[in-house]
Amino acid sequence: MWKLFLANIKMTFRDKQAIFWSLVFPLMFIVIFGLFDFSKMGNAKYAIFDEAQTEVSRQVDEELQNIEIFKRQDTSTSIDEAKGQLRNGRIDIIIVIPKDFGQTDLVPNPDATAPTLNQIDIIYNANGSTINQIALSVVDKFIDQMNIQAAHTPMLFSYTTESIQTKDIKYIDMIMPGILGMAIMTSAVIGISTGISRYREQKLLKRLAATPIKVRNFLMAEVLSYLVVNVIQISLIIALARIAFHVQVYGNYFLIYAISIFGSIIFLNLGFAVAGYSKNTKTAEALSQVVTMPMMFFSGVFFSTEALPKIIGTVVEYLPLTPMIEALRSISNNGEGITAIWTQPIYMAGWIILSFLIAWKLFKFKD
Amino acid sequence: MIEGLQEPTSGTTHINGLDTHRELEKVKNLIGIQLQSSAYYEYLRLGEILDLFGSFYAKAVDPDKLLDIVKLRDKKKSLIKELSGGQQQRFSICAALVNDPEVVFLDEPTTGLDPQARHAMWEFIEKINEEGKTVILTTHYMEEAEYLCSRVGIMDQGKIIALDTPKNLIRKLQSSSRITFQGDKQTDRNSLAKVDGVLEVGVTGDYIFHLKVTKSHETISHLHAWANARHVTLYDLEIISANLEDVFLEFTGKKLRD
Repeated sequence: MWKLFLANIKMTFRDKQAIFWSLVFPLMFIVIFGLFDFSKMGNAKYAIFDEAQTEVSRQVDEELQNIEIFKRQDTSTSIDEAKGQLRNGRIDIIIVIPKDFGQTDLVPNPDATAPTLNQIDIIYNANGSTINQIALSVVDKFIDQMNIQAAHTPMLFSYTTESIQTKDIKYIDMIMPGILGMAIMTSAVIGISTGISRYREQKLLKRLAATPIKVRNFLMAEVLSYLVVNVIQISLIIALARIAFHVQVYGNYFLIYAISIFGSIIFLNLGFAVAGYSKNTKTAEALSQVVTMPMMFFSGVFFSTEALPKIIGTVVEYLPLTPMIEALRSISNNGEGITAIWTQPIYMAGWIILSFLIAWKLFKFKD
Repeated sequence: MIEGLQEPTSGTTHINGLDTHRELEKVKNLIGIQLQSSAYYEYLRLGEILDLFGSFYAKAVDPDKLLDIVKLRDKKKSLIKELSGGQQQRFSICAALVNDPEVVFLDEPTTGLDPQARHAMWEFIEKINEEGKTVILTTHYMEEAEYLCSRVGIMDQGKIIALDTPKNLIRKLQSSSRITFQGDKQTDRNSLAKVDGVLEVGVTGDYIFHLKVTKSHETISHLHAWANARHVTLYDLEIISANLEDVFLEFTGKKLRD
């Protein structure tokens, strides 16, 4: 059996297609997501026209510049020109501070009970709602302050802020555990299902059945060699993510490997099930895509499952990849230990049993 | 079924006194199997495949020795796909010998080979046989069976309908040989059919007579007597002894069936 195990590993490394799917493909994902700078994507470009040029108006301007995601554009010279740029998406928000802004409070309006301020105009693109919310609230804050000053009311409520230095988790940090899960899933399901059905098609299984080798040992050698390939996958993915993209792993490496191997067993079982169910290699390939694709998108490889509609979200919670990725993410990003994530391995254990039963039912050694 | 690859619906099979189903493990160590159109691992070299398959058995033969038997030693480091069809067949023969089996099953080992490759294969099979191994061979080529086999069984629709040495099988035929000669217009077909030992007379083309006869050595003298009496010259006289092909056709019938 050990000879078969070693031979299997040797064959995996000679099979360029297997190497591509199990090693090169996930590493490509790491590189692609590592190279994207997602922090740039959320920036809001704004143009400000300060026609008042008072102390207050300059304060508004300054405060906006201090907000990280706001990028001031000075490309337009008139409000109309800025509006044109807003329409074709080059800027997101136009803020106009009128000439008499902040002066009205000095000259109380005799007709009103309270002084009124001239309004700040905010023109914005209706599509970028989150960014506009922030812009509006900044402006809002100033107006409130000025209202208070103008009305000469004392500040009744106040707050202090205290910032805590948290871990700086970038998108690539979040995506790395997802890629780990995806790589293990695809290489196990696709690898086993196409590999075994190819053996069947080539009558290799029949040839093996003619030798005294036990089916149990044959399957054991297959599973063990895939697990070894998985360990190599995990190591390469983490190494590349760390070295090239400075991904931080806060938790225990051993736990990451353990969870990955644990998850791999589920997917190997599914691979055997697919191999048993499909009549030939082509079907096996297609069917394993059917099994893996939805999980790749819904189980939180690239984004959190919280972003999914609620019903789909609940279903997705029960897919085998979801708890695996959640566990990996908690370990890697938050440095959590087994005590914090114990529910996920339990879910996975359930899946191991279930997938084993499915494989047991569908997989036959002979044809 | 004897190889333990299929469950029998009824009955038992035995090799060396071992029930091939109840004692399949022991039997598998005793036999070597070459399957028709069975592949080996795509990404292993020949030497590695033999080494691996050897490890499945209680005893294993050195891969080099195996490759020597079928003259593939120089291909030890090649992959299966780098071999020609004939070489692949040869390899599958030597792979059947990894466990130094007592009984070797070869399933149509020469199907699809050119004459040279076929004769080379025959040589290898004879060599294996000379080493004291029993070779069980299935084939569609009667001359192959006649040349290689000491005993031939003819199977028809799942039943063994004849089992004997090739010579005995042929002797069992009513007509063990054919005699052909060229006659002329005057040759009397009716009197010819009455010659002792002649079973059937056929004429084709340019008065070529085909006789199906029982014992050619006796019949031939009767035929000469008949020819002398009638002043017939037997041009191109030929005695063709029957072969396994005739046996096969006689036993299984000539009708084409699917």
